Amino acid sequence: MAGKIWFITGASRGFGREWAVAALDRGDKVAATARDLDTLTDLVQKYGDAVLPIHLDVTDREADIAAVAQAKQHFGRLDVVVNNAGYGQFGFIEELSEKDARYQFEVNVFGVLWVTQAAITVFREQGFGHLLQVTSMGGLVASGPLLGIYHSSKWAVEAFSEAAAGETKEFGVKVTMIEPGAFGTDWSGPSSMHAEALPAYARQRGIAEERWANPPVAAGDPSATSVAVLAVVDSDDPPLRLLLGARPLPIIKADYESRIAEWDKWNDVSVAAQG
Amino acid sequence: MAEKVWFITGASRGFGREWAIAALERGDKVAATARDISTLDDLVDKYGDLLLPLKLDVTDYDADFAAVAEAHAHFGRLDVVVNNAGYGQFGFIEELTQEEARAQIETNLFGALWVTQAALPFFREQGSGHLLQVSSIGGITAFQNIGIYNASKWALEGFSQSLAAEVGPFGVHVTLIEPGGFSTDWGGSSALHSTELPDYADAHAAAAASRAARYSSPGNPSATSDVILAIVDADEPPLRIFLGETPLATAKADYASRIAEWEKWQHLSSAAQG
Repeated sequence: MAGKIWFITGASRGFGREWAVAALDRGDKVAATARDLDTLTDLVQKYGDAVLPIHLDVTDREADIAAVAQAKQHFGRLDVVVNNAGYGQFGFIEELSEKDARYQFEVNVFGVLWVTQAAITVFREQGFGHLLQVTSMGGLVASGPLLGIYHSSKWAVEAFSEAAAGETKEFGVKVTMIEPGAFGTDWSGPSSMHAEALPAYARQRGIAEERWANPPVAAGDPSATSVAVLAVVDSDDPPLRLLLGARPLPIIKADYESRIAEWDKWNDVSVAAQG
Repeated sequence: MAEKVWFITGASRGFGREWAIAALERGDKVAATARDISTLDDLVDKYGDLLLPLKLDVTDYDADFAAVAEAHAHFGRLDVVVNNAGYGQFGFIEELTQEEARAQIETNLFGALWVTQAALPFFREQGSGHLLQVSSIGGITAFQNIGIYNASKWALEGFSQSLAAEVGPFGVHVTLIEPGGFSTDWGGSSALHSTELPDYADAHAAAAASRAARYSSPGNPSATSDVILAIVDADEPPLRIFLGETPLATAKADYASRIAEWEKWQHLSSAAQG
């Protein structure tokens, strides 16, 4: 298989960086975006012309469209676009400021949407292309407190990406949502934002933070995910959704079962509403 | 049971109006909001002091907080807050303008979030309160040509489920109301449509046919009122409830298909654990 050409947002750290390195190590070419270009300097030194560093804040729609166009022009085509840039906004729903809530959506939803739109246009023209949307197990379940607006943002990406997959299939475009469970990135550390605390939630916050500090199971190793991501982009028939990690699936199944049990329990009432 | 005090957004038409009337008919009190307050004139004429009409565009953060506070001050408490205001933005993902995408999230997601935030301090103080979030079967599954609407409703589902865990300890209930197809004007005059790209002409025709099939026998909106009253009167209301016959089978099939795909690729998922 000829080397692939990637466009990866948020390549300064975390999964974005892992996958950029994995692609470059096997000889693929990567347009890597970051808000701070200095974070990509070592990649440029090591991989030279195989990497195209692009300064990008994904919340800027015009810049997103220009960056995708620049990458396509530079390398001649685009095979894989990875919407990886994002962060976690912590806070009980009542605690979130208007700014907290809006910024979570600017980056995690609108940033992804603008890059997605730009990528689809290029992919349709080419007649091929693979869009990877980095969501989360938290883009599927939201049973706990403290991350409501983050869940909201990732559920939103899951929804419009599924619609986009159906809309672009006939043009040869593939869409895969990458849904990591807990991994040892700095997602819940320096990368995260925190709303101003309300005293009313102090007790619950203590419980939630205790759980974050001492997770019941060990986090996954981010470097182990690259094999899965490479396998997905090399697949002729990639999945719409791929979980990263062994643990999310039973958790999601249990959540779906509990939703279905509740809907079933109230189904007579639901049916009565049909009229 | 003593009469309840409701706050309902988007009461000018559709489900919001149906449920406002149902509550008023049984003697409950309703703060009803609309962007055009004249749409509430006939309700004021008929129900008098039971109704407090409030002019509100839910996308205005400060106005949402002021409206909820006014309703609470006027009636002395708030039992049920219904986030009903919303609309459907149609269009393929590539077709959406920035303005169209943002406006859909502003109304359907942020509007509901601000009203939710405004209600919570009163609910916590009372040690009671019930938040009804009007979602959709489209808040559970996603369809072509309404992806940004799906995104707004999935997003509503996401924060509301988390919220239910956060406010349960304060005696506050959250219920996501998930209608299937109903003969409101949701897909008609209430809807907005993106400009179609010529390349998608065939796909649009297919999406329209698929949608027509899904909505071949729409429900009767007035039949939903008794269900809503039963939910707000329940001691243990559900977190989620469908309205109509068809959504449950749709959701079950969708979940089964997702699980089958995850299972098929689980070897790779597990390898990624490290």
